[in-house]
Amino acid sequence: MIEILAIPPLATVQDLGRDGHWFQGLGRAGAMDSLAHRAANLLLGNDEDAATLEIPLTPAKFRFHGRQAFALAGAPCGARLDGRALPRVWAGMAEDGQVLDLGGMSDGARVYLALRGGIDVPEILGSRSTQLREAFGGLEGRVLAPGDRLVPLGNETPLLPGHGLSLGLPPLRREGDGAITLRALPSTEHDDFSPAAQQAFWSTPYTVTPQSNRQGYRLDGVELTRAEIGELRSHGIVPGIVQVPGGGQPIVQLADSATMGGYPKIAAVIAPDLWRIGQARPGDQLRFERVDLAEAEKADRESDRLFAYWKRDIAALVRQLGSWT
Amino acid sequence: MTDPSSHWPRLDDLVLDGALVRFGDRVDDAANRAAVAYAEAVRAEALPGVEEVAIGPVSVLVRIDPLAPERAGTLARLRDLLAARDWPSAAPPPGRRLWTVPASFEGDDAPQLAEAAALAGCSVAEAIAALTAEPLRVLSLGFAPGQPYLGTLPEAWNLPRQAGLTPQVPAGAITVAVRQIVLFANPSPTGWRQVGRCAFRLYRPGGEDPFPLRPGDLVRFEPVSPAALAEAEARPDGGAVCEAAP
Repeated sequence: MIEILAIPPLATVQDLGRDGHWFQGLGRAGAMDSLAHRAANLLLGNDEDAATLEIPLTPAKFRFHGRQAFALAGAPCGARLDGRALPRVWAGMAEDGQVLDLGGMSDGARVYLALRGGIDVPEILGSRSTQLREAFGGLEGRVLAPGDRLVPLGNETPLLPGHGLSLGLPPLRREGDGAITLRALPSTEHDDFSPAAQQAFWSTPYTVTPQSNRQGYRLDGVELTRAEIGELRSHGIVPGIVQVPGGGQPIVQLADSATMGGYPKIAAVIAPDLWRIGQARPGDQLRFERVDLAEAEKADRESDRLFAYWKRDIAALVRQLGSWT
Repeated sequence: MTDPSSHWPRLDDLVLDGALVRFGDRVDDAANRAAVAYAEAVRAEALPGVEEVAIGPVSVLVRIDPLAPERAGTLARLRDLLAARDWPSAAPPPGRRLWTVPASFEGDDAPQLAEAAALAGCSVAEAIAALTAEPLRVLSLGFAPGQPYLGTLPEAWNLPRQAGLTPQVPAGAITVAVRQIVLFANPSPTGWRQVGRCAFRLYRPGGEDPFPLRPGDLVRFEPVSPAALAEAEARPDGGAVCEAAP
């Protein structure tokens, strides 16, 4: 069991989200950085979908009760276990009474804490994710607070080397680029925007404003005007959709977005890049790079390949460890 | 983007989001009947690559994995299915239900009723009668879990949304615009005007039937006093009762 000693205001239990109820008006929820969430789980031998703790903008502090395996992945935050510095992505053992300290984040916005077998919270409508607006799922449908205790579902100890296990996450930004590049496809109303607006959207950076949370990020940059103004009917929206309300500043819809919206959609960030938004913080710059379906498909395959490599490398290591014992 | 010579129904390939099938460009019961029946038929086909079938007031969005190899075949089947029947004359979905929901249209429960009645060109009493006389169809669910868009109200209720947003209406708020009522599942900001309130809970995450309303169901509001509504809050489903729809 792990006890929360200190935690930022919006930490929640999340898995890969609640699929299949979009048609009934229930959004997906789920980890904002699904890549880091998966990495933390795989390192512990968990299912990729096991529930982890999503911690936005540390510091945070935990105490372990009983010897326990755990994993961390996501934004670099100078994690220390009883004073011993841990790598940014790490799985290992904590002893009874040890304190895990997550310091301030130097870059990125979220870090994921995984326990063996996943965090034990009830599965509701096929998922353990917290639906914050609807106040169910996760731990009592709410954000976590000091004094809360999280229990792992698994009780066996995974095979881990004494110094722990790590793996490399892809870089958040391209080398030498200050902005975070997001690959995106043009969406339904893209061509209704003026040529100048289209040009600006695909070439100039947009800044993440403080009005940004798990529902969506409001961005600030060159104003996007539509050439054709007409009343739009409400339509379905999904995470990654970039909508442009009347003011001309885009909003990226994210994990906790509503399922319907009435604003024109200029673009959709491709699924393999959604994790990058989850690691963007207010003040960061986002740049949208236009891709076509073939490139989106290639990106999908590449991200599948990355997970396959992770699994292969971890399995190889565990086999090796097993042969030593 | 809309072709003025187009006729209904029509299917648009949205590429990324799948296929949008529209049965009209304005909200009416026949187009909604068509949407509900077509969506049911698409679900029954279990076509490869289809991720979700969502019913809008007069449309069906079939989400298809844009990278699924069967995408083209699925799209062709959707077109064939659309042409195969006269969807607006389809029978109502089997097992649809009529919900009678106690609602207050007085005082704090109806902060914008007088304003909405004036826009609709009638008295407050006439407005309450217009909103409660006939059962309304659940046209679609969306925006929040189990949250219904109900219609279709008479033409006089083709009210625009407010220019500004109401910062927050409560869960259970009954709001009007564009010949529809939205019944709010959660406290929410909105551009729709609040004309009443009920205590019906639109989702029960732990329950057996987590989303009680389904597109095609009927909902009739039964006007009650604020005191009677307060009493209804303690009852299951906020006093709403359900029977097989005629």
